[in-house]
Amino acid sequence: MRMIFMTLLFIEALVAALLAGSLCGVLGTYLRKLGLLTLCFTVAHAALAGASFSILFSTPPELTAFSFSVVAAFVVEFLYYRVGIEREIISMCTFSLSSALAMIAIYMSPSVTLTSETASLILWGSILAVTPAKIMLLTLLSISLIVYILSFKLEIDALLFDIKLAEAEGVNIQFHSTILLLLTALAISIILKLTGGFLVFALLFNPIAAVERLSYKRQPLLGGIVGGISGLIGVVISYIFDTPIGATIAITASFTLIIGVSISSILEYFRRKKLKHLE
Amino acid sequence: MRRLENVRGETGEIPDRTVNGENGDRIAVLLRNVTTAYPRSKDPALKNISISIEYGSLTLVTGPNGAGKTTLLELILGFLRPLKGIVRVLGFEMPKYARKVRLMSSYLMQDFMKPPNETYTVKQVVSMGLAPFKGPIRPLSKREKERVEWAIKIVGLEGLEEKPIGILSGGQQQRAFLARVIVRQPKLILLDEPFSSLDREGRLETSKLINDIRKRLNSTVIVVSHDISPIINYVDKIIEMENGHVVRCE
Repeated sequence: MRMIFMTLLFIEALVAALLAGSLCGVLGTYLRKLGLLTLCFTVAHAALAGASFSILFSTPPELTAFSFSVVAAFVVEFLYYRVGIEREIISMCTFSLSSALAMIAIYMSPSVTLTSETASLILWGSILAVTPAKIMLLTLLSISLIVYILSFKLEIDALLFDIKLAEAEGVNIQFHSTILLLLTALAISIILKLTGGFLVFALLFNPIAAVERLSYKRQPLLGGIVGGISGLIGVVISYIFDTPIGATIAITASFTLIIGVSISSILEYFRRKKLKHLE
Repeated sequence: MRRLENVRGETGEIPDRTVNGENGDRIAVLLRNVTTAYPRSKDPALKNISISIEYGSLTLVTGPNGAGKTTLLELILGFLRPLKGIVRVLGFEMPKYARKVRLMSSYLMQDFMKPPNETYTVKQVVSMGLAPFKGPIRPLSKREKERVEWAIKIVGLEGLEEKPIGILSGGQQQRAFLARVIVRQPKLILLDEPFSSLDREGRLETSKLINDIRKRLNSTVIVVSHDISPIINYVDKIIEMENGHVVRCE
C-alpha cells in the first residue's frame, strides 16, 4: 500500500515538474527576449515575500504570493512608463524590498509556524506539495500560454524581432508585457511549494541560458523542452538520493547551461572543420 | 476627399483631419514652437522649432550629426513629449494619440541591420508590419498575404521571400524593411538615413523607389539624411537642422 502511495506521489511530482519546467522555460525565453528578465526576478522574490507573509498571517500561500508578485510587477511598470525610472533600477529596488519583507515576515513568524511543514514547503519546496489540483492548475496555465502565443503569434514575432520597431508600428507592448508577467506571477505562485521560493527562478533563467547557446531558431519551444527535462531529472535525483527537491531541480537546471555550452562548442568545432575542408 | 485603400486594406474616404496652415494647405505634420529633451537630459534636444509638412509631400530633413534629425522623427512618432509647443500629426495631438498615429505610419529606423544569425525570413519580417491590424486568433487573410507578396515584389526582392533576413546584404535588408513599410499602406512614412549602407548606385535606386512608393501610396514621406544628393531631385521641401534648431526651410 505504501509502495503504491509513494509511486503515485512520485508520478504526480514528475508530471508537476515536467509542466512547471516547461512552462517556466517558455516564459523565461519570452521574458528574456523582451528584456524583462530583471523584472521576472523581482516578481519571483515578491512571490516569496508574499508566501512568507502567508506564514505570518496564515493566509493561503498561493493567493498571497500571487498578489504580492502582481503588485510588484505593476509598481515597476507604473514607475517605468509613467514616471520614467529605468526598469532595471526599479526592479532591483523592488527585489531588495521584497527580500527584506520576506526576511522580516520569517523573523516575526512564531517559532512553531517556522518549524512547521508549511514554512518548509514555501522556503525549500517538497515533493509532498504536489496535489492533483496543482497539476490541474499547471495544465490550465500551460494551455492558456499556448493559446496566448498562438493567438498573438504575429505580434509576438514582431516584438521578438525588433521591439522598438514593433512599438513604432503600433504594437501594444504594455499589453503583452502585462500578459507575460501575469502568467509568470501565476506560474511562480503555483510552483512555489514544489521548488521553494529561493530557487524557483532557476527554472525561469537557466533553460534560456542553455537554449541561446544551442540554437537561434524556435528558442521558446527549446526553452520549454530544456526546462521540462530539468524538472524531470531533478525530481528523479531528489527521489533517489532524498535531497531537497527545489535545490536539486535548480542544480539540474544549472547543468543544462554547461551541457548547452558544451554541445554548442562541439557543433561549432565540427562546423569550422567542415568549412576548412571546403576551402 | 479621395477614395483610397486605407491602412486596413479597405476602400474608404480619407477623413479630413487637416489643419489649415498659413496658405490654407493641408498639413500632415505640424510643429509649432516646440522644445523637447530626452529624459534626464539637461539640454533640450530640439529648441523652439516650427515645421509644417503638407500631405503627399516628400520632405528631406538634413544636417550634421547631432543636429536633432532622429529626435524630430521620435517626436513625430510620440516617443518624446514636447516640453513646450504643439505637435500635431495627421490631425492628432502628440503624444496623446501616439498609438493611433503609429498605426497610420511606417518607420524605417537608422540601425535596421540584422546580424547574420537572424532567422526570420523576408516574408515573415514583411508580414510583421501587419501585426497590429490583424487582431488575435485569426491568421493573415488571403488579401493580406497578397499584399505581402505585392510589397516584396515592389521592392525587387521576389525570389528571396523564404531567405533568412540575416544572410541578405545591407541593401537587400533595407529593401525588406522598405517592403515592411509599404505593406502597411501608411499615410505617413518616416525614413531615417535610408542611404547609409548603400553605394552610389544603390542610393539612386532607393531614391527612385522612395519616390515611386510616395506616388503609389499617396503618402507623406519624411526622409532624414545627411546626404542630400541621391534624393534632391524628388523632394518638395528641405529642412536643414543644426544643434536642435531649424536653420533653413525651403
